[in-house]
Formats: sequence, C-alpha cells, structure tokens
Amino acid sequence: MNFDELQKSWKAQPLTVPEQSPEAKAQLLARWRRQQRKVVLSNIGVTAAFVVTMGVLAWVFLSWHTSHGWLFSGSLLCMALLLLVYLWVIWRGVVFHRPVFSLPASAYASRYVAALRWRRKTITTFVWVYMLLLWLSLMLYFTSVLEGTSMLMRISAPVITTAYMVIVKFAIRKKQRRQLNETDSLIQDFSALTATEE
Amino acid sequence: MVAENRAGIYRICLAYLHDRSWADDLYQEILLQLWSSLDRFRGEAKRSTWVYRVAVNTAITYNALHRRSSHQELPDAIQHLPDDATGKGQEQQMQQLYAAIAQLAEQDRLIISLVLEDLSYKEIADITGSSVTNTGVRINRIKARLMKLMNPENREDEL
Repeated sequence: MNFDELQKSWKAQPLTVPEQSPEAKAQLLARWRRQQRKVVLSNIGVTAAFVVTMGVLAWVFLSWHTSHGWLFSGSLLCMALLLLVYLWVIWRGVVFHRPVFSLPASAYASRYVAALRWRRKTITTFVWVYMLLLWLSLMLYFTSVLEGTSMLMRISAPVITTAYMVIVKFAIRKKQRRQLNETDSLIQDFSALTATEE
Repeated sequence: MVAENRAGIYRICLAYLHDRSWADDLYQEILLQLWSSLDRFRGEAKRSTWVYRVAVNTAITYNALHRRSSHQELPDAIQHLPDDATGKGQEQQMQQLYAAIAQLAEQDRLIISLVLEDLSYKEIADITGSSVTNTGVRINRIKARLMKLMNPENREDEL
C-alpha cells in the first residue's frame, strides 16, 4: 500500500457528516457571538472610562469637600453610585457561557434570550434613567459649587451640560436603533430555534 | 463555500480527535467559526485555503481548551491494528489509517489530514503559517512515519 492509494481511500471513505446543526443555527450562533464580542469590548471601554471618572470624582471630593456643604458631597456620591450601578447593568447583559453547538438550543437559548432582553431594556429604559439621574446629580453639584458666582455662570454651566447630554443622546440614537434591531432579531430567532427543536 | 468543504472538514476533525462525538462537536465549532468570520474573508487566499485555515486554527484552540486529543489510550477497536492490511475492506483500512494518524503528534495529525485532502504544499504552508520548504520537509517526515505505522512489518519496530 502506498501513500497515493491511502489518499484515494481517504477521500472515498463513506462518511456521515453530522446534520443536527443546520446552517441557520450556525449563522444564529455566529451572530450571537459577534454581538456578544461587541458588547464585551464596549463594556470594557465604558468600565475603563468610568474608573477614570470615579478617580476624578474622588479627587474632587478629597480636595474640596471641606469648603462645601452636604450638597457637594451628596452629588458626587450620587454620581459615583450611578456609575457603579450602570456598570452592573451593562455587565449583567453579558453571558460568559459559550454555546455548545451539539446541544439543543433549549439548553442555552433561554439564558441568551434573557440577556438579550436585559440589553434591550438597558437601551430603552436604563440608559434614559441613568442619564436623567446623572443630569440631576450634576445640577445639584452645580448648585453647590456655583453658589455665590455670577448669574451668567450659574445659568451657562447647567445649560451647556444639558445641551451636551442632549447632543450625545441624539448622536447615539442611530447606533442604539441598530443595536435594538439586532437584539430583537436575535431574540426572535433564538425563540424560533427553540420552538423548532422542541 | 462551507458546503463545498464539509466532508473535508469533518474528515480532519475525525483524524484529529478520533472520537466521533468529539469530532462532531469540533465540526460544529468550526462551522460556527466559519460563519462568524465569513465577513473577514477578503479573497486574498483561495476559498478552500481560508476554510481549512479557520478549521485548523479552531481545532488547535478547541483542543487547547478541552485537551481532547491528548488521551493516552486509543479505543480498543483501533488500538490493536490488524496484522495484515492486504485484501481488507475499505472500512478496515480507514480504521487502520485513523489509528496510525492517532499516533502522530497533534500538529502532524492536522498536517497529514490536509495532505490527504490533496492540498498543495503551498496551501498547507499558508494554512500553518510556515515556509513551503519547511512544510515540505515536515510533510515528507510525517508521510514516512505514517507509512511505517501503516506497514505491519515496520510497525513492530515502532511498538
């Protein structure tokens, strides 16, 4: 027996390629992984930015808390808590469990759908609540630090901050809509896959 | 692109992990990786080369995570190779071939599978990220070892 004969036999061997995972399932899990990867990367970025922000908040508090009242400390504390809660919210939407392809979708789909629903809620509700509370905390902070300054200062700082937050919210609107569409589509497809396999 | 190479991918999985259920799992993982990275295929390599590259990389990662090809004992059915390979059915010959491949080093199993799939040295070099010369030398060495394992007379020396 030589190698060429072996090669011929190799390619001619009768083989039953597994069929239990159709391409639709592979595509769905691939889409899930892609979205998951994006979410994790984005969360890492947000976490890094928030850690720096909390450092700045701590520095502001330690440098000036003696010269300001409870409103100053309270607003900074609120901001720090908001950042922490927001980090918990975004990381709660991540599933670290990798899908085992050969298992039926029912073994993992419910977990994924729950995470996707949480991500959806984050975009539609939590982000708004977070921004509103952050805005309120910032207004309290301004009230405290701008006490005794000129009227122009007391008005312009909150107005500029509010305008900035509105612009940011407006700028990410398209991205959020895209994320929502993708999330909805994944929820729908995972539900359909589970129903089909049952 | 994936459909064209399904059988080849599955044969590589079987050669790499021996056990059919693990091979099935790896095969599905490779399909998933292919679908995940389809948008990264820029047409710089041949489609089949790209597919096999993803398959090989996934197999290595999968094995690193699960250590499924590092078991010491082969299943009984293929551990005791038949003494005489002549005049045997194709199935038996394949069993013998898989048993021989199982005795190769992990990387060598993947390379010889690619050779058996009739990929050129250049394609295999592209897939494994080595030079064509090194790949050629390595393939010849693996082929010689495989033929030795497949040949009952020579196998006695090996064992």
